[in-house]
Amino acid sequence: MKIKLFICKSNITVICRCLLAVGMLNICNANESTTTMHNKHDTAISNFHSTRAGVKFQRSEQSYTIPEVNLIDQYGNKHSINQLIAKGRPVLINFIFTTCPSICPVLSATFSKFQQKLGKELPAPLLISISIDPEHDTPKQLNAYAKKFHANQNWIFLTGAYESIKEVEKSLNAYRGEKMNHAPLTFLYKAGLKKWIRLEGFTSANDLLLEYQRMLSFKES
Amino acid sequence: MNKIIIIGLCVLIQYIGEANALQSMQIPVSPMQAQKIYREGILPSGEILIASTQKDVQLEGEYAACASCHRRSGMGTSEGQLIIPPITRDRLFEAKVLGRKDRFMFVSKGAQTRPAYNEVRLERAIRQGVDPAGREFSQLMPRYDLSTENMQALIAYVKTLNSDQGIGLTDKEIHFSTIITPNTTTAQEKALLDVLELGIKEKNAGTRHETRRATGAPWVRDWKYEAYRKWVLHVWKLTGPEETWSKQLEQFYTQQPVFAMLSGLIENGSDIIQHFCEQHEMPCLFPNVKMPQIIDTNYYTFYFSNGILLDAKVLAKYLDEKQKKNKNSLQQIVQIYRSSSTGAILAEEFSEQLKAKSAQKYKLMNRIVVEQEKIDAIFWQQIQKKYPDALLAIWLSKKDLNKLDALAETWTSSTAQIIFSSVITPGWAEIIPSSLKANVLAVHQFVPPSIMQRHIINSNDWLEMRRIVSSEQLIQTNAYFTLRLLGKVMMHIRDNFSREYFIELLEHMTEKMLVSSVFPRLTLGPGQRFASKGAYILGFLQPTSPLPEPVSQWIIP
Repeated sequence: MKIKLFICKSNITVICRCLLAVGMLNICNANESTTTMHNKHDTAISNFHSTRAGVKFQRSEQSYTIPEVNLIDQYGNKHSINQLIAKGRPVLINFIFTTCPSICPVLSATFSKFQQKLGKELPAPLLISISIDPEHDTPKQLNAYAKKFHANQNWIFLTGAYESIKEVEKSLNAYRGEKMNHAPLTFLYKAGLKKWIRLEGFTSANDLLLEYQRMLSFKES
Repeated sequence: MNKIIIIGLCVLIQYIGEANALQSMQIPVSPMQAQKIYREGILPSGEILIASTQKDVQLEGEYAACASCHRRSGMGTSEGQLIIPPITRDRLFEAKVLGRKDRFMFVSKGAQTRPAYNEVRLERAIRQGVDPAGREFSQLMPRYDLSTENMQALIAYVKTLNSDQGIGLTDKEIHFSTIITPNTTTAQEKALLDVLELGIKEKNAGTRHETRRATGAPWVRDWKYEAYRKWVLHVWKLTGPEETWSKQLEQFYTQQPVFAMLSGLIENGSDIIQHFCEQHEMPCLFPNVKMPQIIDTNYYTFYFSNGILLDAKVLAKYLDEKQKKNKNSLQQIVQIYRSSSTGAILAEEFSEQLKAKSAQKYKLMNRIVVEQEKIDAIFWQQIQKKYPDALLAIWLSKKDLNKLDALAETWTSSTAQIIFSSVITPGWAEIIPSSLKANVLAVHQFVPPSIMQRHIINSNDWLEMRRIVSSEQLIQTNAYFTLRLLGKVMMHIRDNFSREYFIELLEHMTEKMLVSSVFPRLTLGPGQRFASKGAYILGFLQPTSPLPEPVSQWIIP
């Protein structure tokens, strides 16, 4: 059944591309969700992971260098972001802001479900949500937000100086100018690995768990 | 036997009847309760709304509420490349077809057409995520498992959402007001009205042809012209004591309803004006207020910053962080202010803030200056004598500070400091004697003075070209920014004259403004009502420095 579905979807993709060639994508796009609009990554279509009709995220492996900047967590503790990552504990990073209407509640709810689903067999990663609205998101705001998403001790929310946050965003190719122009992004990494896993779009908690398991199985360089 | 069956049937029918009656006796969901589901994600039972998204992810409460994405107006939103469609009554219950003009528009690409919604189709959309054309929504649209009563009430509520409420406007005009309270000077009033009136006059001159085209022959007429309105400004000048202001405002509003309130000079009693705006659900944009009050339920009133309350919070945070490094030392602080002045409110808030920090590290004292009391050389000498090592927090206006030289003459301490607030004492830096400069600090929520003129070059140029420059630079720059932002919002609102949509656009666009203001960075977001959120601590780097510079980072309390 799964194979059949896959073939069916591949066919749709092929048809789409043919139609695109003759400028008729309108018709085919009818079934596409708004989450698949990263047209510039057209070449990476094979990398789209589909969880259900119209729900897709794009996976890629990237090299990033995280700058040495200090950020503050929801309890007011200072952290150097690159030291947090260098410690060797696997990390999952996303960017959010507490008054964000559409993207962030879903990203945060996905992290929330992920921490729930994570069994005891797997090592617990550190979940890091970085605010891209640091002017508004004080540690106090972040703490209240964390509670709403039932964050446990393995999930920290970071804020800091506007310029520092921008630097971190830029290092992960996540900076999109003003906050309402942001994109749904999740990053997975473990110190020692060559590449970061970059997920662009919305995943289910299960997708995220599978990606996490897959990353743990990668050999360190 | 037949009799038994008949009796049995009768009993059964009666039972069913009663059950139905019981069901219909359930308390119906009120429109207010339905609004609560829509806006806050709280069910009439008090439980939180839960919805599923992305297959296995749950959204709860306010994040599951329709208003989270579709917003309070129902006009939807956009975030990055994500588009949340409008769900107002006029959008949902009409078929979406590709019009002649749509074919030439980039946005017509994709799933733009569908039959009209009706109640059954809307319920299916909310429960199963299927649109009237039978297409499945993105998983981002949560699926809701609501009871029949809640569902019906929610749908009834959605049907009340309207993209054009028609308040304060006609086919040709849109009305705005600005409020001026007593106690403002004629110079301040002129400074404000010069900017607002000229700005609006120029806007109307620039779009006069569009409003004419909207009434033209069908082949000239275009949808985009229909959105244009002539802006009309009404100046609401309040008189007499504060207690009468609410009534005066009501009279003004009955005489001429306005769509929104712009800028304004509110010296005191800002709570009355804020209450009026909230009560009438009228957007109130950036009045010049020293002490805005925000309570949790506020939605319609926007301020540049939290005024003196922000100063109090920033100063408390700054001092506390400094004190943390100075272990064991007790910091003496003396606040000097006049009774029943804005300085008194700052003093009160500051002491509250300090109490919330490590209170045992401070000894806070107040020197209250009564109304008749003069602040002369002797006053400062006494202060100096009585509190030689204390930090002097001076919350006085500039005209009370003309004998500051006396303080400088007797000043002996090299470590004690004096602190001002740029909101309470604008231009404080100009009156500091050189010998005191090394000891003076100020809470400053604006751009540092050395780069201010460069920062507000657009408004300065605009004012200069129109020869309306005044000494009230803050008022003029604030009014100029408000007008430019209004222009941007009105351009995007097109003819969807919903006040909630107006507010959502405002929240969205403030950050995008190219026009700079006296504040370093103005940003808003959903629910955010103060556009600037922090302040610097300024000090003179050298005794010879003409202007003070930040001696701290941008502090957000």
